[in-house]
Amino acid sequence: MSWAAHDLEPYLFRAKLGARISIVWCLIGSYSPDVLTKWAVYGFGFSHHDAILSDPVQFHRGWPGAGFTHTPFWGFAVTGAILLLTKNRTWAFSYLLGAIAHVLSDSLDSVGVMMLFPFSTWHMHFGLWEYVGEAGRAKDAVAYYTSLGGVWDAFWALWLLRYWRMFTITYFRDELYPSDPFWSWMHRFTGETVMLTVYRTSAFFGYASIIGWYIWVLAINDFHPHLDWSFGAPHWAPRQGPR
Amino acid sequence: MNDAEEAPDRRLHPVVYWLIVLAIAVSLGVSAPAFFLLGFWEMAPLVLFATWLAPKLTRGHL
Repeated sequence: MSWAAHDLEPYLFRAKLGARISIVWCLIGSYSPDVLTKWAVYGFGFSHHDAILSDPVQFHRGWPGAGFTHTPFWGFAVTGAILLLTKNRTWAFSYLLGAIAHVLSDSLDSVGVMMLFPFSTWHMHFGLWEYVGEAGRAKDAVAYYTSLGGVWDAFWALWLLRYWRMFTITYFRDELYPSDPFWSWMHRFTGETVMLTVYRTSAFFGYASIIGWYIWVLAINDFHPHLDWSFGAPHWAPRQGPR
Repeated sequence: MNDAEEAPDRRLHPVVYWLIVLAIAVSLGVSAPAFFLLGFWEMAPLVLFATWLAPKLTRGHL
């Protein structure tokens, strides 16, 4: 699985595609595959791990299970529903792009995603890093940020730095607000400070979490606090996913 | 000479201000990852407060 990449990818799409992207709907698409499932995969607790499911990997990415949420099929199905309900093509396309980006990002780990669902339960998986979600939040953070997963997050963060001006008030007022009716709808209920918070929080969290996790994983945590950027790391974790 | 006109503007540059806010967020996250580093909603109160405070502490808008 990916961590901060899901928070940052939608901003890059907005930077590259401009008014064709509604940032809020792209973020919803990016978060949607995990929003109802990830808490169950991790179970309760942070430093200790109380499992909820007997097979969290199957539940998260497989079928039978909730793995259909990590498929292009599900992304297109929800996109169709958004289009029917809102009649807004930009919102629907933005959702689809966010959801597909999530699916493709998650195909980089060892479990991967059911790319051809519902016709096949075959998992497309590149195995750049090991899926360790079944071990709970703390160990997954160690696994992800000591492996190529953390590099994947850093790649998006560094690329997005080039477009830092898109987080200014000027950009929000001159580019974002006029191009997406979501903001004028939101403005009926709240002011600019709250709207800026909604716009900026995911990106801010993306940067803070990448820096914070790297410091915590390498300097505070004492469970395997070493970088391993080899293919398929970390190798201390049990192998998950198709072989 | 008018002292008020020559008083230096001690307000922060907006980029410096947001780097300080980011450093605070990272410090909170490293101190208590379970409360600050697991989801974007955990940073929303800090971003809201920092956005509200920014015009009072910084020169110009960012």
